[in-house]
Amino acid sequence: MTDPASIRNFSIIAHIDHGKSTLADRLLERTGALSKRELKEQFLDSMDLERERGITIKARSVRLHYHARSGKSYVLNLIDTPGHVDFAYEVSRSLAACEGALLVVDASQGVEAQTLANVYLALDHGLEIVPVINKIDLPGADVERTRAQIEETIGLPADEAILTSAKEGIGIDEVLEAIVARIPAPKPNFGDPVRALIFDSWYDSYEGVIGLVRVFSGDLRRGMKIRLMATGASGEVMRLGHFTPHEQPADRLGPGEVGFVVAGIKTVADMRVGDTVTDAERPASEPLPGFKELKPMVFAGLYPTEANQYPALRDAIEKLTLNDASLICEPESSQALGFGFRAGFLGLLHMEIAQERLEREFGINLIVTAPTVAYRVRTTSGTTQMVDNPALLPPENTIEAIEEPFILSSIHMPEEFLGAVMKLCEERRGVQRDLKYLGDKRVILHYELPLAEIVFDFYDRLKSVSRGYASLDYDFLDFRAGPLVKLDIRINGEVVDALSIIVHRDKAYERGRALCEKMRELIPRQMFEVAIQAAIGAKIIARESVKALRKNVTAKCYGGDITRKRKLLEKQKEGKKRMKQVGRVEIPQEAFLALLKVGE
Amino acid sequence: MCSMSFSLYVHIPYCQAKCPYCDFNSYAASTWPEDDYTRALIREIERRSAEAPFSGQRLRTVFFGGGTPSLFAPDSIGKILDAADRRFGIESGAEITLEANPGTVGPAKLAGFRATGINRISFGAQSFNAATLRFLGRIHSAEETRAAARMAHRAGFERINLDLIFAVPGQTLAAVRNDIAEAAALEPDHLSAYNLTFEEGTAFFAEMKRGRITPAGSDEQAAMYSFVREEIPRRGYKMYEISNYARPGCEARHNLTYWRAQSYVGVGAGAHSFALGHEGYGRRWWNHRAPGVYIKAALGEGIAEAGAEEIDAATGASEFIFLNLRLRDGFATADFHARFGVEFDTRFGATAARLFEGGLLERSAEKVRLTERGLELADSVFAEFL
Repeated sequence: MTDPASIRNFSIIAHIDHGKSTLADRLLERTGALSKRELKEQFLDSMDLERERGITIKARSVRLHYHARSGKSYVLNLIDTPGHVDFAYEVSRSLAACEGALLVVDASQGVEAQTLANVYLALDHGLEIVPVINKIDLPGADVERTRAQIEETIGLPADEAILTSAKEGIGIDEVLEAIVARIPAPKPNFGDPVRALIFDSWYDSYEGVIGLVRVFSGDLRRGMKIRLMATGASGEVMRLGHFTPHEQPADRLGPGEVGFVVAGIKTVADMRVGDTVTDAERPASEPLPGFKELKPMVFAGLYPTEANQYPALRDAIEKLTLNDASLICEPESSQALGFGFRAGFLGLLHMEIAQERLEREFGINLIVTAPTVAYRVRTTSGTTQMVDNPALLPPENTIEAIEEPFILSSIHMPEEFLGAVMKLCEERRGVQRDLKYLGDKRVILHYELPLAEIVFDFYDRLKSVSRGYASLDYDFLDFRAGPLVKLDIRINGEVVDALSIIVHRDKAYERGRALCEKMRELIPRQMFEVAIQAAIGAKIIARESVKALRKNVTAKCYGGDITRKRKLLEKQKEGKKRMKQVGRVEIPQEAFLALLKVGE
Repeated sequence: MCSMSFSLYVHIPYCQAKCPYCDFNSYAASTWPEDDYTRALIREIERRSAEAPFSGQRLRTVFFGGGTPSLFAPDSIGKILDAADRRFGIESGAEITLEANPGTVGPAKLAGFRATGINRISFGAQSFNAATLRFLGRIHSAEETRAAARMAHRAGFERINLDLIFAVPGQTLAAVRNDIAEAAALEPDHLSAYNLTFEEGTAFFAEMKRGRITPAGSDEQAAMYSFVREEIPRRGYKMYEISNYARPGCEARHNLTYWRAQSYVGVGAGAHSFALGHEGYGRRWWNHRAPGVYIKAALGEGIAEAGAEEIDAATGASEFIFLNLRLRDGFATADFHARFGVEFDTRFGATAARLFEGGLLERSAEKVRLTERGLELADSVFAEFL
């Protein structure tokens, strides 16, 4: 066990390309965690390699041994953070495991917008932030301007920023010294029952779930019966240890320490990020703060393009959920698409990642329907139900009210973008709650917004109106009734259930028109004319048509051509297989996501 | 099956120039190994005639295609026909066709071909418009086509076909009408009118990909095709296949063999053969494409097969339909039943119903055929039957 006074837990916050991985490599190299050869061969290599090995080595947490100039030895735990909005919660849990963070800024690029959200998150967690100005060897480097920018945009004193060139190995010792000197040691807490924060977990087919923990109090020991305080799952600690980055087994992890735990837990849903590990026999009375059961925000249907792929899709989803606690899937069926699943995601990025994994790792040809939020519907008979599939909205005459989820958003931005951001929020039916200045030039804006308005392209729009400088975070608020209607798309008169959406009445016409236009672009000409209509109930609000194909005939067909001719026809047919037949019409996969593409 | 007759296709792969739209197995050459190639063909005929499935069957049609078969001397063609007659036996009244390029034949040569037993000649006229011919890379002139047709009549050919190409970029309906009128004036008994297509591997396809040629639009092509289907029959040629028109009784019997999915043997470089078996099964095979490889293989083994495909009954049924539907009269459902032992409606009822309802297929007197609109979307209809 390590004396907490000699432990420093930190992460690195940086914009992509500002030198985070190079700096991490230098820290590993300087502290002797890895030889130059290993670094070259293993750690500076391709993305693929990083992905294959990075899970346990670089991307998550590494324990470094550092002999400081003072002559004392320290244990430095470098904890990495994922970098997407959809995963803001994971980032916050990683930061909660640290006492400090290095903020790496490229001296030639200055502070980039994307880093700000994480800096604010770190400040919120009370982390000590050590600015590092990197790439000072580049011709375009402007250290003084970068310093000024850090002070202005973030409000951090930057006169003691450390100047480095990770690539050239300049300033690495100063970084290590600063970690020791400026980042506080964990506060020791020996007597209390065990409390350890899970800040990452993944599924391993041999060992079950492997969790990364930061111990806050007590001793986590091998053989200990443990309980996860939020999920209630329990297990026995079979293996414990550190990544240095090589795996180093240990018998126990004491207060302030960071390491891994294997306890025979079968799914990541039982060992969730943010949960607290405690001693099952002498449990803590309170878990560590900050656990959130991540609720899916966005729902979409996942269907195989071909019905016979359903069992394969089911197996793939099962495997995917083993490793992704926030992915929720229930079987459902659609008249248009057959059997599939309704899946819940944290956000659109999460949805895209899941879709890509299903397609690439499991080889499944997927149709993903337009994402939607979950609505709460009160019926005239007094019942309340949640609807996460617009096609399943009860009949209009039985609906008392449709309530939609509202969130409270916090948007950080430099003052100059305030007008544009407020305009965007107003367009999205937002209600301003307050506006605060943080220092002279930075503003934090709170808006109540319908979730449906922000899950789709709000984040992109926010970034574009603020040239990337605004950051967004949000929390669920409540459900509010509104004039919401179901918008159906009819193809040749038939409602295609998988294309229905719920929209605000004021936006229904515009949305219906845009959707019809998009569908017209996406549906190829076929043997028959295709009529596309948008309708609210029986009322048609927009229409388009795809004219019938005029000509598709091979002029010449003689003896030699027949096998080839058949293959050409088969190819034509193969192309159609990737489409979904609805009545007489073949609809390409992209059409089911047309909703998202409207306005592009 | 008791009508034991079949068709023979003889491929001559040489041309004086390769047309930029042509994706047939043909090679531009100023000289060609005519004797070796002829001997190779004869060897292959001898070998095929000695073996199942064609031994003991007689030929009802022979077709010399290419390439440009008229580059060969009548003497060579005569030797090949002699071998075919000696080994298989050519039925009396058999249709024996030779493809010719207008610029490659004179009176003596035509008379020579006629004397070998060739009784039908097919000229690649393509167009009578000088600019269109130039665009198509043809080496002959309209005048040469007119002369060739006159000479062929004089040489005793009663059966003459002229090939036309339409939907050439920039071509107007008036120009197409003029081509048809000029062709009909030469009194052929048969006309083929092909929509120009851009096949992969051709010079035109490459030009199109580079954006240097823009094919006529789909609507324009459909309009032109529809125009052709009215214009040619007005001159006494009935449309009997997607691209073919004939005076009554003058249909190309050889090509009907293909469209009715009946048996044929193909000899020569890259030639395909099809032998129909029992209960709808069949076998298709094809020869090496390169003339040099072909000659060597055929002179050695008497056989030059490069590949083969067993056609099962399901594939056979699909092929039967997409071939027969090319014919204007389609096919009798009774014939489908006779070959495959299952009713057409049992096998394809749901598919066909959609197409009947959509106005792409029609049914009369137990025959199924494409509608006028179905003709324009034939490939889409065919794909439904795969």
